[in-house]
Amino acid sequence: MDILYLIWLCLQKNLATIRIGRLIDYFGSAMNVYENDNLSEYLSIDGIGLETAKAIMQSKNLDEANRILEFTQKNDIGLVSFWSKAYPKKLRQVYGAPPMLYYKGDNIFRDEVPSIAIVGSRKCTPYGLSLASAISEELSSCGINVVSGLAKGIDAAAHRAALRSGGITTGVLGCGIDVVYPTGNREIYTQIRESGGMILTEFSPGTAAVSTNFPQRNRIISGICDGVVVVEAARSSGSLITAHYALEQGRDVYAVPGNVNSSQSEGTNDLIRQGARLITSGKDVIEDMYDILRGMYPAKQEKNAHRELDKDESAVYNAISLGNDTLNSVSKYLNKPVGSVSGIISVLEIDGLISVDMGKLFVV
Amino acid sequence: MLCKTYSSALFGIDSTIITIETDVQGTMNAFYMVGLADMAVKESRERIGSAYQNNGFYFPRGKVLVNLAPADIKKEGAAFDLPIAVAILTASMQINVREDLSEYLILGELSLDGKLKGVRGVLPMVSSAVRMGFKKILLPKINAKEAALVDGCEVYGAEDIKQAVNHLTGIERIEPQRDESSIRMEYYNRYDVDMSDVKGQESVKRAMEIAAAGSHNMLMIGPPGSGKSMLAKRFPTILPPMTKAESLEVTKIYSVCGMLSDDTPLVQTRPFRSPHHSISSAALVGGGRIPRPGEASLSHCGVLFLDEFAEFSKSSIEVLRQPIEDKKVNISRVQAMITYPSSFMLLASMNPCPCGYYNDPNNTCKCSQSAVDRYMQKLSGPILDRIDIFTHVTVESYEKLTSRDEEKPESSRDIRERIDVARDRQLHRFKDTNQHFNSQLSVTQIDEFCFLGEREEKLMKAAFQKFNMSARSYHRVLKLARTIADLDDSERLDVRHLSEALQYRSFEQRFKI
Repeated sequence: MDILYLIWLCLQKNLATIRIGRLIDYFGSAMNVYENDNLSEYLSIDGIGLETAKAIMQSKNLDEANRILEFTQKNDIGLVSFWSKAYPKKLRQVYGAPPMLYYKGDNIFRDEVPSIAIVGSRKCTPYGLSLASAISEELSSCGINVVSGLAKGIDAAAHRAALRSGGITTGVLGCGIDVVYPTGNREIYTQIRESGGMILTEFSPGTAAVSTNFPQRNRIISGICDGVVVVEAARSSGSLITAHYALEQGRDVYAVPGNVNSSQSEGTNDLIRQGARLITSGKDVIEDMYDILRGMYPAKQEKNAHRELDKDESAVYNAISLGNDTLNSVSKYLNKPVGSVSGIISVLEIDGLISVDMGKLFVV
Repeated sequence: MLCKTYSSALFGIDSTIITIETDVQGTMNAFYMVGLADMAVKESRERIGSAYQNNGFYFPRGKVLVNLAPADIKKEGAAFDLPIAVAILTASMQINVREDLSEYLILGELSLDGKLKGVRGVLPMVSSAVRMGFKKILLPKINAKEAALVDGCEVYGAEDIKQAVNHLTGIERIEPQRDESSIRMEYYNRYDVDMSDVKGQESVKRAMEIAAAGSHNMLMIGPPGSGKSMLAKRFPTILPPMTKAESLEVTKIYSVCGMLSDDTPLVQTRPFRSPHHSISSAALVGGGRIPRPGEASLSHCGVLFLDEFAEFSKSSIEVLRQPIEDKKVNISRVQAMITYPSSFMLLASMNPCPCGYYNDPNNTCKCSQSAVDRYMQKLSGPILDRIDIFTHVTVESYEKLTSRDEEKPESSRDIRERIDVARDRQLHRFKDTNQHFNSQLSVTQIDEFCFLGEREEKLMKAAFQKFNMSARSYHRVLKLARTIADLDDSERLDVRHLSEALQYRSFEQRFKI
């Protein structure tokens, strides 16, 4: 029952993943760490000072760990330690990999399945949403595991699209496995498990979604993937942290270019400037990662040609694609009454050719 | 001797006739007032006494008993001063009244020198008195014009108690007040603002046109400075003029609140009320120990404009549900239940997020996505359900604001002409019902009046799936399309009408958790 002692060790405050690794390397197992009662032995480990050692000595109580273990067994939550064979191989190679993962889902980590992370801002534009969906759909219909952070915005769009196209998708949480955050994504949680996907986290059950957890979980997102696609990111977005981890971990970073004026694309445009690969579709990713994903790209996949538009409809469509992004500007550009233009916009919207968000028009 | 005079007590925007029985007898000096009078009524003894002395009368010796009947209604205010004063003078035989007091409704507050002061609620009191058969009204001069709005009675406005007494005794008759308002009705709807003041924003103007035509509640969302308030202020200018009946009803409410001006007693323009968002729920729908109409009733037959809708307290917004639904406000007190009419159109505006600049082209929004979501979710489902038109106000470019060469935007008069067409069609449609507007269409009526052809059916089916609509939002779209078709002077609901109506649908997912 080494896992119980590992849970106990992970519950120690002040102990980061690296030092947990060193402790276990030194003592051989988490149980030995627990059973050691010689303060100086702790002190002999690099990075462990007097205070930390004292704290470990004083907290030798397995109640909490027992409670968590019981909870996981009751709720069908899986546990995997860094030292077990089941631990994802890609993640194991990462510096600062979590010593233990909690997961939900039947499929144990299959390392042979190629994985791509699709990340981006919570606050996103319809442009970002539609691209995240499109890329995710393309990738997952090729059998690629789409990994994301189960947050609002781009993350949710990527997960949803993967689920829609019947692919598998993995969500990495910044909170306890039993915590649904944000609550609006509850249906994604359940769908992921029903579809054979997986939800995982390094945080023990009950951990609340604190803002500091999210940058930390981003290293897992990039860690279990072969590459990271950043769809939309503002200048100080958390997605850029994921991109950084990806670079550190030797993963490929892809970025979707955006409008120069859009603050939600500043981060991605910056990434491209710094050398990230510019992509405009999922196909670009697959072609770039040819070695890993050889031959997975199905032949069809061309965007469905849209139906014949009539004269007025194509006039409106063209006006919007030329950058007239409000109802007023389109109607002025075409010199038509707003009433009739807004009717045509509805029709184009129903056909999925454009989308309207907060009064702004976008060509999809 | 016993003397009876008649006055009136307000009850919501209606009133009850109060009989004032006064008896003076014996030699023991005493004054009793019975019949649930509040302090202001009881204090009238002192005002009357002083007014008598300063006008050559005296307060009679003996036991003066004043009874206000019916005895179980609470009486408040100082409007009973004059009828009590007249009754005591008659009962003590200081004056010899030639007029028949049972024909008279007497109202008025006395000041110490005998001058008459104006009272609140003259119009509702006089109109219900006339309904009860009173033919003559004696009241302060200042209220005479207002009372003269009521047909079927003679109104005498007196400056002071002396003039009032002289009129009743026949020494010097007062000329009846004439109704001057009918001449003035011609000058309806004169505003110093006009829709043509606003450059650009055609989409919002169009939405307002539809809202005004079908009395659909409307919500505008846009960044600060985009012109929401400016447009809202001009909204009344495209509303059709009030009918005389509507005008009288609104005047009653304003009369009860004491909000009429002396020279224009009749409210002739549709009310436009824009309370600040710090307003309490009682001030919004009415209430208080002695109930008064709230903003919802003050905007009866007009527009209630709630700027910064999301900043209103949750309870204030929620209390609006009843008035929006029932077109009236019920206020319950121990004594009675009072009903104020409140058939208004709700016009609301809000920012898209706490900082206001979400999706603004020129400013960067500083809010996190969850802050934006929370802000939008401040409005509850039941309130959103009662709003038919959701529209975005986007910032107009500098060029548009400063352009001179462009043709002048449509004036309010042009827009109102189209609205009149739509109103006529609705009047015809609802002629045998008590409904007036398409916004009041029930589900069965929607089936009747919003028949969809094959193409239209197909469009709505696609829209239903694409936009994830609920049954309720589906019906909302049909009601709106009905109004749009009416504006187009068309009986048939066309794809054009439906597809335009779809643009005003709620972006429900934005408001959901």
